[in-house]
Amino acid sequence: MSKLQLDNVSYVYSPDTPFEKEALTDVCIDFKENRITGIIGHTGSGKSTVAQLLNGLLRPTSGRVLLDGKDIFDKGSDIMQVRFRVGLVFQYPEYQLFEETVWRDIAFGPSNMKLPAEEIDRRVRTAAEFTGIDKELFERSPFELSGGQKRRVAIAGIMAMEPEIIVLDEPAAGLDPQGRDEIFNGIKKWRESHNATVILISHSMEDMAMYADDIVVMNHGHVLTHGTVDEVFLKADTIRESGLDIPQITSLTEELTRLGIIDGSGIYTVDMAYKKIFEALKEG
Amino acid sequence: MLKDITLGQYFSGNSILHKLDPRAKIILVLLYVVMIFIADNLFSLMALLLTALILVAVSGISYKIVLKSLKPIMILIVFTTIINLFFTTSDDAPLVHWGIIKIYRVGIINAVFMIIRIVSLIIGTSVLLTYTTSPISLTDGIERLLKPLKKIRVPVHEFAMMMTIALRFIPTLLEETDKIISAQKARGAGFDSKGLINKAKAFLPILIPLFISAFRRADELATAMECRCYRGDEGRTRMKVLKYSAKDIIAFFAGILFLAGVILLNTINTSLSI
Amino acid sequence: MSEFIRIENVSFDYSPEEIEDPHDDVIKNISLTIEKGSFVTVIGHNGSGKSTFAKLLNGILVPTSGKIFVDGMDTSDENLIFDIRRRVGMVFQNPDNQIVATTVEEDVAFAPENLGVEPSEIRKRVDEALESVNMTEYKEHSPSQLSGGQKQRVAIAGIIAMQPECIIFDESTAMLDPKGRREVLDAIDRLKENGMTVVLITHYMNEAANADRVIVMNDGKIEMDGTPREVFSNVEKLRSIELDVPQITDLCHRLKKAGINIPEGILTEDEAIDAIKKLARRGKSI
Repeated sequence: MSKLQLDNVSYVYSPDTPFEKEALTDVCIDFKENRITGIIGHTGSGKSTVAQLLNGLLRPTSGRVLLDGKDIFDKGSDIMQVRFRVGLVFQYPEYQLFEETVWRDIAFGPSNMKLPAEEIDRRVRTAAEFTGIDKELFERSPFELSGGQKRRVAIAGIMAMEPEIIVLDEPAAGLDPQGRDEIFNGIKKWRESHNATVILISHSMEDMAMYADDIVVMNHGHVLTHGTVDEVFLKADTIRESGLDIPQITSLTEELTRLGIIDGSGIYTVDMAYKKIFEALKEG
Repeated sequence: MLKDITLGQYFSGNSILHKLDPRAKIILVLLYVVMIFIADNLFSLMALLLTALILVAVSGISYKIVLKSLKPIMILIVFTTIINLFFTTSDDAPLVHWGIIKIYRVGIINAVFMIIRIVSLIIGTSVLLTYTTSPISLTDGIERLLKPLKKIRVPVHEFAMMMTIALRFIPTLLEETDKIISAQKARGAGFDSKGLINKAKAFLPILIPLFISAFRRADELATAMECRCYRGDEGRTRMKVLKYSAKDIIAFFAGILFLAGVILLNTINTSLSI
Repeated sequence: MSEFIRIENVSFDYSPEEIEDPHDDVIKNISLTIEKGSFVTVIGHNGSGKSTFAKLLNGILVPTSGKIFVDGMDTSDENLIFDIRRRVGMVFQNPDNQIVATTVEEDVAFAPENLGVEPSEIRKRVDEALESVNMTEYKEHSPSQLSGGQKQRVAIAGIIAMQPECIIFDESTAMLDPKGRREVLDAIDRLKENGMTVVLITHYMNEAANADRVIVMNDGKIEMDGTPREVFSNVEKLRSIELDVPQITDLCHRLKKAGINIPEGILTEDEAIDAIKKLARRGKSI
């Protein structure tokens, strides 16, 4: 079922100024409930604009954003409620931390929702657990933490609002492999336990191959293709066309297929490639 | 959004105004400001406004942009107009008498003059200086004009360096402010609370991250500058050496002639002077 | 190749006033030399000490104990610090926080201006430096109009204009998108071709593939040091210190473990294709 929908959305930055720029043109995307959808595209493809349209931070120049079928900018719709239902984690979210303690920073969102104190505390603790923030850090200043920990506190701050949909813009940018895995695994676990819909914005096809169910490929403010991970990786050329890197493993197996050594297109994990190549070499 | 402000922006181009020496332009702007305050009748003021508008045409910058730059100061214009209209008193009979509101002829003249002054000031200084002078040559010009002050130990170079860095980081910090505001809005922060203290409190989630980020940037920038062998003014040369050319001399003369013109126009006795 | 940087028993600790405890050191007793003209990649996860290591090489930080010599000059000698910094340039992680001036060309001119170079010579160096990173057409742009990759290339040009013998890249690709990363890596490749000594600090494994030498750091110590092939042959060890291996290397490693006779330490797609092609052909001919 479609949970969140962009219906023919266009967006223009700074209209009627010398800096006017059309970021999105007639974009239609259906985000399905309980799935992890990856939006992928290079810088300037419009993917970050999509993120801010989804929770009403930006208002479409034309078209509609539908949450459970209802236009979020309808009369009588409370945009603040939309923001609590669609949580948005910005790129480098650690730069928005401001409270004196970790606990209070995570509690900022739920407090703005005017929840009772014990509910706030419960949510902070749950969110911290999913992002791997130890209870012992609660009374520390967020500014004393390591880069990876700060990032996780910031993500916990959105998770604590317990949104139905969580949108994350490059949650792993600049982290080392271990930090990246911690974050993605936390998001995955959270999605499973909360039945949430997750939207990941990224420029790494490799990360998407590992964590997403569906992928939307964007380029120059348009949707190039949208489908399950398997479907999208069958269109390696479309991905290349949008200026993105396809994973090493995909381009290797494509070349081996072309040489007639294996039969495997649309391969995107080391596991899949290993099985195919092992079969081929063993038979010989 | 914050970054849409066009006041104080530089527009690159190739007009004669772009090519003048920044020092010449700074001096001409000062002269222009002096003239605005000397001018005290409609003829001289109109001449100044007309000159500003002609300079816009010369600079090749569209009138639309110039008009847009007046937007942020609209409140100021409206405010001074109201003050002049309603609070100027005179011994003459009021033109409008409406309860406690009395509008005098002098009030109207004052208001009109003030509008012309503010608009000329903004357009004139923008087009002579900020629109047509890159920030770097502007600071260069200031640094060199102030150079004599170095003898009395005024840190002219440090001052110019600070200005360059400030100008360099204004767009970066504006963009960052926009981003932090959005990020806190996404966490349900409201900026429409009532009362001064609550209002100030509501801005902490923006100000604290902004300050922390500015300090981090300053720290990293300082290291990067050290890595590029920065050690203040000592032994420093410049890639672009400022030199006055014939254009600048001509511009100076034009400026002085114009000043004389304004003084002359001021002497025309009209019923519209104050 | 001759020696350019010599590191002798260097330890470093950010707060040396506190009680001596060698376990707190960020850098723990490292000794090595870096040859002139070589391309060295330093890999490690966050907190492994790799960035501290980078800052020690041009005297931004000075060792708590031990000595570092750049072209024979001791980095702890304050009289030599500008000579050292001119020879060893550094490009940082955040592209926004290392550009000083409001136009591209003025920024590239910053270092030579500080060094007191003649105006005409500065002009020449700026033009050449911008050309070498393909940024000539942007020379009058304001830095805020550029993409991350373009800003990093301006930062590189700003260092090239100083005419250093060595450039250190301290995670200079970490904040860039794939396109920006490629642009910066291409610029680094060209530097290397022109004989520049390059030290690239990164946590992206595939950036190490082109290097002459890979140094793996963990917990302030050198864990591995060798050619890319030597280092990446040791997949288990890399994993044990929480580092990724490139997908291709991982794949070949697993094939090898399953009894397929494929060489260890394969790094690039071409190598892998060659190896698999050979194996497939041999198999068919039996």
